[in-house]
Amino acid sequence: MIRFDDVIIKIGDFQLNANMTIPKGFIAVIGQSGAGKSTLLSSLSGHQDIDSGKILINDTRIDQLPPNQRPCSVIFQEFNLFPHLSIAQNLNLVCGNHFFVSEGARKKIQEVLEKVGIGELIDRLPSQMSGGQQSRAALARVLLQKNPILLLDEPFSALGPNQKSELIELVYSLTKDQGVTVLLITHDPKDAEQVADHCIVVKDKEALGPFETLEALREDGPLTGYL
Amino acid sequence: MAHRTVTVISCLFLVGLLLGPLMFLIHFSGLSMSLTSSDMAAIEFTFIQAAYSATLSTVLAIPVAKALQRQKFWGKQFVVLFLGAPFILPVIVAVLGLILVFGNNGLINNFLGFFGFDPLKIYGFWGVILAHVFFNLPLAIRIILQGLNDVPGEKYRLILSLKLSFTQKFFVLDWPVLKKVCPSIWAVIFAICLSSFAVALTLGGGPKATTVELAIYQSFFYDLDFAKAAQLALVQVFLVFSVVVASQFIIRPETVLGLNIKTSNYSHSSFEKALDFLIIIVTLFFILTPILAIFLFGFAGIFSLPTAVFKAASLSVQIAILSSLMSVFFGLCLTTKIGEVVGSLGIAVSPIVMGAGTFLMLKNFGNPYLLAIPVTAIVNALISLPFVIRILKPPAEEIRIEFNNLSRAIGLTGIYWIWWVYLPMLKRPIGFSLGLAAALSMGDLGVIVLFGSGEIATLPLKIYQLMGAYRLDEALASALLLSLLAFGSFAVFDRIGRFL
Repeated sequence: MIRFDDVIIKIGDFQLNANMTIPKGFIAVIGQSGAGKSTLLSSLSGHQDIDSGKILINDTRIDQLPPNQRPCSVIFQEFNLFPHLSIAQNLNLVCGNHFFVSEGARKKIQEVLEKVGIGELIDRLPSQMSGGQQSRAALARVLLQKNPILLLDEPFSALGPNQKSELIELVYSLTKDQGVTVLLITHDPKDAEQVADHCIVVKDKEALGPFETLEALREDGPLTGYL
Repeated sequence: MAHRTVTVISCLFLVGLLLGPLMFLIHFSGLSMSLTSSDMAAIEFTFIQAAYSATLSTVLAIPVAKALQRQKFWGKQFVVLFLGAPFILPVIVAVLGLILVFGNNGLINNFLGFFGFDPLKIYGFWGVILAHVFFNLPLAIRIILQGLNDVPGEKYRLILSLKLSFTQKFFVLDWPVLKKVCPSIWAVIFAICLSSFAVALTLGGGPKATTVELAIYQSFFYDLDFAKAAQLALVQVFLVFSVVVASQFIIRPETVLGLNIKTSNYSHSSFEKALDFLIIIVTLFFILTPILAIFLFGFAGIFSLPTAVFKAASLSVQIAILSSLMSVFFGLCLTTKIGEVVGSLGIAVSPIVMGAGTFLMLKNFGNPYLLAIPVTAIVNALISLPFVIRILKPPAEEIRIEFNNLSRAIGLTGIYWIWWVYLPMLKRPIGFSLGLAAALSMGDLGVIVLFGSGEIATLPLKIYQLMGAYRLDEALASALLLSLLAFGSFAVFDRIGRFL
């Protein structure tokens, strides 16, 4: 369970308030551009400092920990893979930071790549893969990290609607039985409808919710004016 | 955080390396400044030759850059690429090349003599200016060309549709660019020429053509007047530092933003076209002929060079490798704003000044000549450091910005980040920097003239000694060898960076 306890984040003139408890499951984070969706997730992942309040995961305070010590994995909108490294080398970075890819690590990487459907691309460079394949490789990396929270900061926004839907479905299927809480930032209510148990709405400098997805998407719900 | 610590440690180390010799210069100057009339003449000459060189290089570069910008022809990119050659061409080689072309028995004077004209004089004031223009004209052309190319294509299309005259086009299109770019080019060339040593040593000299750098060398080497050398070195530091600070207030070139859709049918009359090509050909002749002359006249003797020359070449290569590795190591540690400022301090402290200070410092502890090789390598590394930082800093900053979130998210820090991200992603600029630093070190004649001897001589010093002994054929062949080593080391390191 994730708890934002009177959290205030200030970036210049912009301010975001969050006071909520997020249950386990698949959560969609919806709001207009510039509303503060990425800021909210960055505060959880540790890429954005908070100005006041507390962030707790299972009652343990995490807001003062560096990003790599928080139980969160992130897939960003871009720059998810190092372009000069092969997929094996990219994924090896979360397998113990060794100077070379060991046989054991390569085996683990191969297994997880099979799971996301790109087992044959282990030695390719990101530039030799399509956008969808790169997203799958990034997904494989977060699966290797085995963190209980997965943050998706619009990672599939550059893909076509079918590919995007396919990948969201893949994330859902790979995480639902693992007890992983997924927070997915999206502009598209259809994504929320597809997989999310709950929605967080970010608007008017505030993160609201979480709401049951159906309730959030109702015509007179919190997304009024956005839908 | 870790990167900041590395930067701070490197900055402190570097400041120590630069301040140590300066402190000894201050100590040896006896805290007094008794400048004679010949010292004042050297200061005056330093300023005048730098002003002439900067003005001529900047003014002459304008029509060449304009011609290159508006004419399209096969091999244009090679011409622009070739304009970078004088930057890594060792000064002593260029001077020899210029003597072959413009000297008493050179190509030009033979040509002039054939038509009954008086010969040109390459030694003295105009020789120094000629050599400085040879080195700095290409630099000025490249910067002005870059500025002209940054003008948005939309502006060109608008001018075309207005059917303006030649003068109107110049004032609407080119003048705004030149107004921004030229003052800073002038300031850079002026600062470079203030520290002129090798050119003044070979083409200048005497009461009328001695720079402060040369005066330091003469006090040091011939008069053994260390106090005078220290005083002049401090004057030199003050001069260059003042100019570097003053140049910060001169307008810097700005990038003009636009869609930059270049127009291909920028019309000009056949007279303009002919004039442009004439300008390009004359410029290429001026820059290429001295280099080609070295290849032509040096080739025959290269296989019969004495062993001492190859020994000197081997020493030059060792120093170049050592100094380029040090320079790039520091460069990689200093790819931040503060790092760039500290790393650029080397511009104000020329090799002669650094060498003089280090010599006096080491004299207190033992025989400075025994440390000729490491001192030369360190000083050469510091001299090339500002260029190395300029090359490494932009891509290093880009890597930090683009991959900071990912690196932090997966806990990729410290030595692993350097191994997996920093070094592999920077391998091209690292290769280029190593090549540039090695080539610059290979051609340096600044420190080694103070520390070198008959036994310890780099190739540039050997060439200077051969010239002094009137063994011109051997000097030319050695110059060819030095050029091949300078361009070769640049090419090899650059290739390694590209293909590793």
